Amino acid sequence: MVINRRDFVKLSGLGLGLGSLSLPAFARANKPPMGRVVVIGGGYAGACVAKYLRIWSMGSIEVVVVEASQQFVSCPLSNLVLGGSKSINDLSFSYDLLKTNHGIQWVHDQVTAIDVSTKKISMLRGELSYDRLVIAPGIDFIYDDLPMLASTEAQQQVPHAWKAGWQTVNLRKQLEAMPDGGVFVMNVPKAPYRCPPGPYERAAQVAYYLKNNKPKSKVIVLDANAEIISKKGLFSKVFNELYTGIVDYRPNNTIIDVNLKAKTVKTEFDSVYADVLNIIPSQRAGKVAQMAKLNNIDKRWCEVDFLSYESKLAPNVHVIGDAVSAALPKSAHMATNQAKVCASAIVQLMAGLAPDAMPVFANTCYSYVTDKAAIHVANVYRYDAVKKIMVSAEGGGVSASPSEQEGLYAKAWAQNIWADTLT
Amino acid sequence: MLLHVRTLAASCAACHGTDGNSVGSSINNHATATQNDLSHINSLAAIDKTDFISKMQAFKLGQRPATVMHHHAKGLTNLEIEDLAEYFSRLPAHQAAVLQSQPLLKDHGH
Ligand code: HEC
Repeated sequence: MVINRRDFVKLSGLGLGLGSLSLPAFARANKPPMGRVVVIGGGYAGACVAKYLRIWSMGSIEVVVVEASQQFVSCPLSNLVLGGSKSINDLSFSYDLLKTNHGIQWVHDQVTAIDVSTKKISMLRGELSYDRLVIAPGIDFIYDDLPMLASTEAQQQVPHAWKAGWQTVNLRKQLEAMPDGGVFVMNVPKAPYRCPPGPYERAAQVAYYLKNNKPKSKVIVLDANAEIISKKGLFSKVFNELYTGIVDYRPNNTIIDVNLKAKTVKTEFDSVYADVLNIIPSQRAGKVAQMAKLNNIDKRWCEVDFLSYESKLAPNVHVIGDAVSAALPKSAHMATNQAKVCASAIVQLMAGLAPDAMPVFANTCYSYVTDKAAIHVANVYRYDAVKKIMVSAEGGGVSASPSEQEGLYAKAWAQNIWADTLT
Repeated sequence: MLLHVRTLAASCAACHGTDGNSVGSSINNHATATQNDLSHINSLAAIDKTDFISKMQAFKLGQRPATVMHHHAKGLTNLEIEDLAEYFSRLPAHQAAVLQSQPLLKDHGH
């Protein structure tokens, strides 16, 4: 196992230049490291916490990220690969700038065990000890109800494409190969799952492609939920008016069986034939969180303290991103928000100071309904000191209607969150 | 106070860029732009404090055209808006780097 030599950070933004804005915890730039934080996972949450730990500790916390992938591939915008207006190569990025700009040590390896009592993690090729651990494991799929989909071969035929990458490319190829008049069947798993508006955006993107290329075809959406669970009015309108006769939306339709040979799926009501089948399984906190036994809520999600994202089960271990149990959308923006609250809290805690007692942050999820037009849902979330959870503040809401202007802003959002997370 | 406003301000970065310097916008665009540019989201770094407060209050009251900012401004207290004004006004403006994408690697896991 190789750990890169530690680079010295270039202090940016709220660094030394802004003396009067400095906090006591910052005034340590020339002192020895305050300690080591190991971050497991380099997605939106993990990459972001690593960056902000380095910036806000002014380089005095040593940060080591452990990530199994060589590359960052963005889930946001990946539905546009299905619609045809983006390529997966537009959404794939190197970690190099993040590492070098902030002096983050990077270990390309897979975690095999976590010992919270000795504060050690084991990987395929070595071990690391930590003062604090941040687990940003993303999601893991649950195949208990649909075991026939668990294998790699089955997922060649029926991709989830719910982690952007080759499965996204595969699903796009299947859509391109589908004859006009074909049926694309997809599902929405029971909430909570990663990216609440995502499946509906996907249905719209597939419909956009079909409307322009194979207008006799259909998208059947089997929703395990009782209704569209995000931007309901907007998506209903898009399905009914923009994609009339193409999107066939069916609420309360849980998939209970899949016949891979016959290409049919069974719900409680029906058996549906699919030319192309896309099943997004139910989800839980990623494998690393399960390894540390932190997924205590419904055996799926991790309970945390919302002032620091420290696990309720293991001291000095923090969990951020989609794996967290919260009444918060599992979005990329939310993952970065949690990462920032967590980074800020860790810097304080390691300096023996208290974290912010009332965190507030803004969250937005954009969805594209054509190649150019988008809609949003936006809310400010605020810590409730009585309930000890994050609650949405007054004044949030959704777009009045889809617009190309919001399509441009959604693109700007993507470029800014990528730069904020990866440079 | 600073701790509180710093994480709040950092949550604006998803659209307005790290430390308020957004991708694609020219430095100090808010000084010159009276209307919103349509292809990118304006930077907030080095913004004039009074300008910031009046824009945020106008978003809050629905008096300034907005696609999304009314939904954010309405959730913030007046004190938070003042603290954000102080904070962003002190951040230096610079050109934000655009992150270049690259081909998906053959051995990417999923
Ligand atoms: C989802 C993206 C998004 C987020 C998050 C966001 N903004 Fe904005 N902001 C915009 C857009 C888009 C505009 C242009 C007005 C509009 O269409 O709403 C804007 C405009 C502004 C303006 C006016 C700028 C000018 O020069 O005219 C200010 C000030 C501002 N935002 C402050 C903030 C603050 C403070 C936060 C964080 C609390 C924030 N924004 C979070 C997207 C965002």
